[in-house]
Amino acid sequence: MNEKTQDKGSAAFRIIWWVVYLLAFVVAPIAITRLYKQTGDSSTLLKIALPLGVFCVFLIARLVFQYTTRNMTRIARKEATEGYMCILPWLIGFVSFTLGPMLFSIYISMCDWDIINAPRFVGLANFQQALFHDFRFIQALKVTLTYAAFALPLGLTGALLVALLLNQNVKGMSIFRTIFYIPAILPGIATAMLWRWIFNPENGILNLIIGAINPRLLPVASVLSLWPVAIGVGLIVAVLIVLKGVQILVRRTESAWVGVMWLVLALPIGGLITAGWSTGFGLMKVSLAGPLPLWLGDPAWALPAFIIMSLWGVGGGMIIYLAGLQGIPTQLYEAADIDGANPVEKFRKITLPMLSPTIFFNLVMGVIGSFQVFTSSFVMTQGGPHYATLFYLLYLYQKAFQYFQMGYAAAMAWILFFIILLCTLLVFKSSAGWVYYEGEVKGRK
Amino acid sequence: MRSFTIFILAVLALALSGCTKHEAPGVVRLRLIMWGKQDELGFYNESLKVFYKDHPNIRVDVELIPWSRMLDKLLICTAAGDTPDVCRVDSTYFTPCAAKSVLECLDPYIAADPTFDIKDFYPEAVKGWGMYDGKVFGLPSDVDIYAMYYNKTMFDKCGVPYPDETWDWAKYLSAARKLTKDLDGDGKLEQWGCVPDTWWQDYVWQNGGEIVTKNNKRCLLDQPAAYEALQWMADLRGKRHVAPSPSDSADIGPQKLFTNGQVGMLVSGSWAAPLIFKKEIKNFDYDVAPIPRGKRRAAFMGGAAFGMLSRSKHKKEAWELVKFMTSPTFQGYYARTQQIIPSRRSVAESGAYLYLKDKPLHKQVFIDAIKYGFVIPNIECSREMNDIINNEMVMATLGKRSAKETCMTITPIVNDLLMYNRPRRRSNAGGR
Repeated sequence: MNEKTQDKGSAAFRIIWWVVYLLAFVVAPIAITRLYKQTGDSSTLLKIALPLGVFCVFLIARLVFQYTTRNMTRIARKEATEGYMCILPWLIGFVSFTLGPMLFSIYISMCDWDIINAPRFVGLANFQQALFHDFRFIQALKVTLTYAAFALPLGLTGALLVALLLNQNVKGMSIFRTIFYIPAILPGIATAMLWRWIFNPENGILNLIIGAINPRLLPVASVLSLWPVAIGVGLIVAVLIVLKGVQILVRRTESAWVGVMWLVLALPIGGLITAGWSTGFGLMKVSLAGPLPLWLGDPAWALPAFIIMSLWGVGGGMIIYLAGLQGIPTQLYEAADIDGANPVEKFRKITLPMLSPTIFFNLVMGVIGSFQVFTSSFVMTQGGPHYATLFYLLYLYQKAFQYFQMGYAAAMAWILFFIILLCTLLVFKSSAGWVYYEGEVKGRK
Repeated sequence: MRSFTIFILAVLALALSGCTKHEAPGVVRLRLIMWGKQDELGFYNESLKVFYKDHPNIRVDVELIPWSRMLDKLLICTAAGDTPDVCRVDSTYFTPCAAKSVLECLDPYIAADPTFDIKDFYPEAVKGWGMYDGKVFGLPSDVDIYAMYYNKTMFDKCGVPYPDETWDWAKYLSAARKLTKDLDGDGKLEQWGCVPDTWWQDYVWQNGGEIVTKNNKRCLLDQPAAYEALQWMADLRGKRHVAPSPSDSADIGPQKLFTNGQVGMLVSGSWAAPLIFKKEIKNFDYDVAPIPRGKRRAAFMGGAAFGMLSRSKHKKEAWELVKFMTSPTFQGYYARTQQIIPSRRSVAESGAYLYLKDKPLHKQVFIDAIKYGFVIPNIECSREMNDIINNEMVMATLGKRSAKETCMTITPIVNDLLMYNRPRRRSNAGGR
């Protein structure tokens, strides 16, 4: 310890602190236990024990701080103090409101507990039941993962496209930005009610639009899905590929092997295109001719409806992308202009790499967010129809607060914690390969 | 650091001093929790004035919360130890409340109180949502019973005779066929004979089926009586087209279709008339008839009860309040103003309810139905069971699976659930 920091009074103060430690950690708990055994009054006990607990936490924090900063200089210690002060608001909230329940939920996850009666220890039975015996748990996982697999890339690219659009220099841009951002700040319940109207099969605006477009698209789709058309398209592509191969072989612009490869690949590629074309437009024809989707009322359409709805929230990601876009120095684009780069090249070689930290941030938040869908399904479908929108958190809520199986719900929460942790870790690990920070020395690996 | 320490100590001193409640001496404040909208508060406070006359030392704070949050609220309050004293419980979650000892057993209070006679209550109600495990945990305050509402004006227009107690499923179907019409001739139906309610249980009971065995150990939906009834219900819209299709009724709900005058017959609860029909039906006349019988008569029955919370600190006073909330005075007042069916025979069959001028006129139908009313099984996990059944039932109502297939899927799941919940209940009883 730096001796300069010790003044005369500090020795006396240290003795006082030791007395305080002794009182708080040894004497007070013993006294309280004695008192409780004598009176049996739990409410007064709580009134004393709770502040004591808080005080003990403070004392432990002081000890930890002193131990970790024991070899520091005065300035370093001051810096550390300032650092801790800066995170203090979060730290106090975490320790007093989150840490306790978190530790408690670990214990509860290994219990059978209905909130009212005393928890009964059951070991890992809750985890076992969830992972191996509960088809609704598997369904909830499936729904959540499917939703994430579609909504996440859709949201990321959607937000980026909107941000690129709103980054142009047009008059009244701030108004457009506001309009696109407003949905992100609307409360979840209001949004859910709104989308229920949109998805109404009979009077909803979505089905009105589809109903109006369908009759016009149907003849187009049925002509396009005819076999001769599909074969024709495949043939045209195949012929173009053959021509390319012949051109290479004749003009010798590349090695002969490349030309032969083009010739060999012509038929399979043409066939694939034919098959894809006919199935794609065939499906389109069938769905256009059938009745309009029931959306939230139909097990097959409910989850797609939620994925469509997720686009409503792109405003939040958009605003972060916009900030990232504004932060890209213009001289990079000027240099590229001088070198004669086209817009696509500029986007790929400048915008994307410079934006990668922002994309990374949005990706991490998106992963966490798409695992935690709750409000919309709670308000709109309650997990139905036929479990089609039984999102993980909704099922967790049902187990905890509707069926009162708190232990099971706690176990589910910890399983979700590890799933999200794993996904986030994967994203973080992969980030070394594709995220560039300004001022970073190392290049691409 | 020193000033910081002093600050912490000061905060601690404040926290330790705690806070004390200031209460006028001699007056006991009871918390009464019920569901309802905030504008009903005036009604309750007004009717409690009668109670204050006889009990000057008690004052009641009425708390109103939404119906769907009631069970959560009661359980969490009890867990936190800060409970109301008296509550209103619905028959759909009475059992979990009683089984988890949220409610106090009322038998000792009834035995000790010579002024109270439980025989005046309908025994069906007391057994249905007042008793658990042979003990009384709540006093029924009112009865909700299902019957068939019908649109008189539409029946007159289509020349169909009004339904009466002779009606069975066949007559019901033929009337529904006559009422189903394409009014503007565009090839799409605008008027339907009937609409299946979300409570499918009626059909099963009427067909002689049951949902679970008497001892609540096994699900009985895999019996022909159950799935044939459900198939009949699904066919009303799927095969016979006398009920609106899912897309015609999405987000509207059966009640709204009836009040719009789009549907001729609606099986619904007695609560629908005062709560919905009174306000929303303007263009036509309606009345009520018994639900058409299947193999036997059955009607979905539920209701509400008043109970005392087991963690109440003023149980003597709470019992007085429970007694008042189920007394003839209050029930009569309740029936006259809100058109609620009283749970006391003396009130229900008096002018307080039966001869009220409000529609529907044939209120005797509801009173008669109490005799053949069925209450959903008294199971602790009934909510989870219903969620499972309803989720699977969608497949049958949408016509994606047959009712038999659906029921065969449901039965093993519900059996598992009933199994899984049994040892847990025993251990709780042992722990208490």
